[in-house]
Amino acid sequence: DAVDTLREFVRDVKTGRADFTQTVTSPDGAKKKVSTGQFEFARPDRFRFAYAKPFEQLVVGDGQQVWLYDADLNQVSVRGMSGALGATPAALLAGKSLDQDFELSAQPSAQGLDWALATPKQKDGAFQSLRVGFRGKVLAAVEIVDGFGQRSVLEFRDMQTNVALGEQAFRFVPPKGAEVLKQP
Amino acid sequence: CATLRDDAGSDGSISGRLAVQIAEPADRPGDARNVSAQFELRGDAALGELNLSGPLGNTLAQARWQQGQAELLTTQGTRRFDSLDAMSQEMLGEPLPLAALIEWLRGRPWAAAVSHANDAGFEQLGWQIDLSRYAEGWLTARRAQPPATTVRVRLDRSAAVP
Repeated sequence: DAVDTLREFVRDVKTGRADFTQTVTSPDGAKKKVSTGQFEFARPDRFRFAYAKPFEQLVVGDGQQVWLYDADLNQVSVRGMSGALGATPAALLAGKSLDQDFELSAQPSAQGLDWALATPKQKDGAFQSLRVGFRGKVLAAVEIVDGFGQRSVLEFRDMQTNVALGEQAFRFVPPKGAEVLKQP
Repeated sequence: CATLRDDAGSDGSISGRLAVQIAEPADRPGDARNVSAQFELRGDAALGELNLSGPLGNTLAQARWQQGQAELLTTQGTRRFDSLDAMSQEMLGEPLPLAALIEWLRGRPWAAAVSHANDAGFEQLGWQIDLSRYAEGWLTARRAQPPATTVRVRLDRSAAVP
């Protein structure tokens, strides 16, 4: 079932790249925000969400820190990786300690995908649930419901796995003139 | 607090990204504080709700207020305050004029305090509000008096054009 597929995915897929569409729905379902971009990851702890539309933003986990760059505001926020990775979607996809960080259970198929539910063991209230959807063996979607009931669905297209990603893919250097803000 | 209906009489919600940067005060070097998040604001200074979330769609905090009473929800739980400014002290360690900021985000001075128009926008409560590029979705609020503070806002395009 999808839990086996997820475990195989974490075990066999060392790197990956895909285009994504992210739809964030407010808790009351009234508001939806759609953004698109490209996602790359490399186990055990590096990932890159490059948002292109509706505005340019970059989230890079370089193994030590997580960088957030907002091109419009020309601003970089950076915080330690440990706090950030823990039980987040990035950990689910890029991490290596799946069973350590999450309780896994299979769910009924829906929208043509087989779903696995990952409940974070670390109860910091940040996330209610994370679900991973597979089309056969191919990672197709991740759905995150946070502690407030806000739902974020990432749908992946053209997922390429075990691609050669150079060292540079997860190195982030703040652009000249950008403000760099350290977050706790 | 009353749950806010979408047609709460205000002119609907506005959303975008904001960055608050507080310079390090002389007596607490290295204590520069900053917040950057995507926001969605409903209502106005009297009755409203502000959601702050990260790029991946995860909510960072939710604030609700009504007749001066304010409530702040974070992953650590809910806290109540008897003023918006007291809540901003908790959120940022600095009492920002949150009630006024809510109105500034809509490109207008806060009705409950004196303001002086000038070519860049207006001045209120010791803050200079720059609206020169508001139609393109940009707004900046700066307080010169230490600790110098800058709030930079980029409205989502749809919200900037009423």
